[in-house]
Amino acid sequence: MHFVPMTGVIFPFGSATGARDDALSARYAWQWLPLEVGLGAKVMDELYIGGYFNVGVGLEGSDLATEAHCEAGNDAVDDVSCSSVSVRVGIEGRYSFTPAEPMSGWLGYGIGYTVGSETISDVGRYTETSTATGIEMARLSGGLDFRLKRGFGLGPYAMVSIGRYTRQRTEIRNVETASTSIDNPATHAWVGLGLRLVIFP
Amino acid sequence: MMNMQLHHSAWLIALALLGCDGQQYVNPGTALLTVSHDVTGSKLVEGCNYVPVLQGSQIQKRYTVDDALEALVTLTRSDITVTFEGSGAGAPPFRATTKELENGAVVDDSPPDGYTVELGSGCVPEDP
Repeated sequence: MHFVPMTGVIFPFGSATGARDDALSARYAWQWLPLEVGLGAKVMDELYIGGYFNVGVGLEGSDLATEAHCEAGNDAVDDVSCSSVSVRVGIEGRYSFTPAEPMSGWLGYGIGYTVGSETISDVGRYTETSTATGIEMARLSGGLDFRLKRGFGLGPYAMVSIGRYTRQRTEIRNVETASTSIDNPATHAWVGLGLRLVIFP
Repeated sequence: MMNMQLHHSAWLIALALLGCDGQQYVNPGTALLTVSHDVTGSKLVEGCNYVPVLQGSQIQKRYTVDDALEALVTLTRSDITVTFEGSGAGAPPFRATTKELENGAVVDDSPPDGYTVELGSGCVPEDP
């Protein structure tokens, strides 16, 4: 068994959909990945295969019309809150170049399911959540592992998650108002950096 | 007396600085779909919806106008589209931008035969 908790930050690039002015960064700001969990096994010394699950949390994106609503309160006591969340879940393989050495580089590829969600809410009067779901076509990652002691490793990693949202769901005041496929999907990427622990490497 | 006025003013300034100047709300726009019968003038549908705030958000709502006609309204934060089904299926979709609504009601210039269709604003939506 191989347990891989990670933490880091991710930055949005590309387009959420093919609609005009629908950049991923317009919907979602950079996000903090408080934790990613991977669980799997080594099928050979160099190759790990397992599942991953991570959640990113952050603020609304740079879209001016949304920001105008989000900033409707004042700085001291702001009754309007905006936030964004992203989730990725899937399976991946990682290849370690020198698994028996105290320091080893690795590369990974994964595929899975991706969700991006943005919410605006005031104090109980109005809430709107826009959620896009789709596929994570390629999760490309790489990093270094330093074996600190037996059964425990630590190191930096970088990750590019390339995806495409295909469905869009809206909730207003906690009632679903639409759930439709996206007519003109586009490709987006989340680029991340962080620290990765490996337990039972 | 002067002291009381000063005290009152200082209190108001302090409240404003602390942000205690009333709660702030999102205040989304609204869109009112009205379908009326040409002959009788009676209003068959009056449907009020929020105009979504977020990029990508959408509202879809179906209204039964009468036994023969249904209207499906789709709202995004920039556009409103009304399509007709049933006896009005031949009528082209009625489209308006939310900016147009800010300047007043917009009337469908090619509605289903026998009906008048209009989009306005400034209504109070029921729960979605």
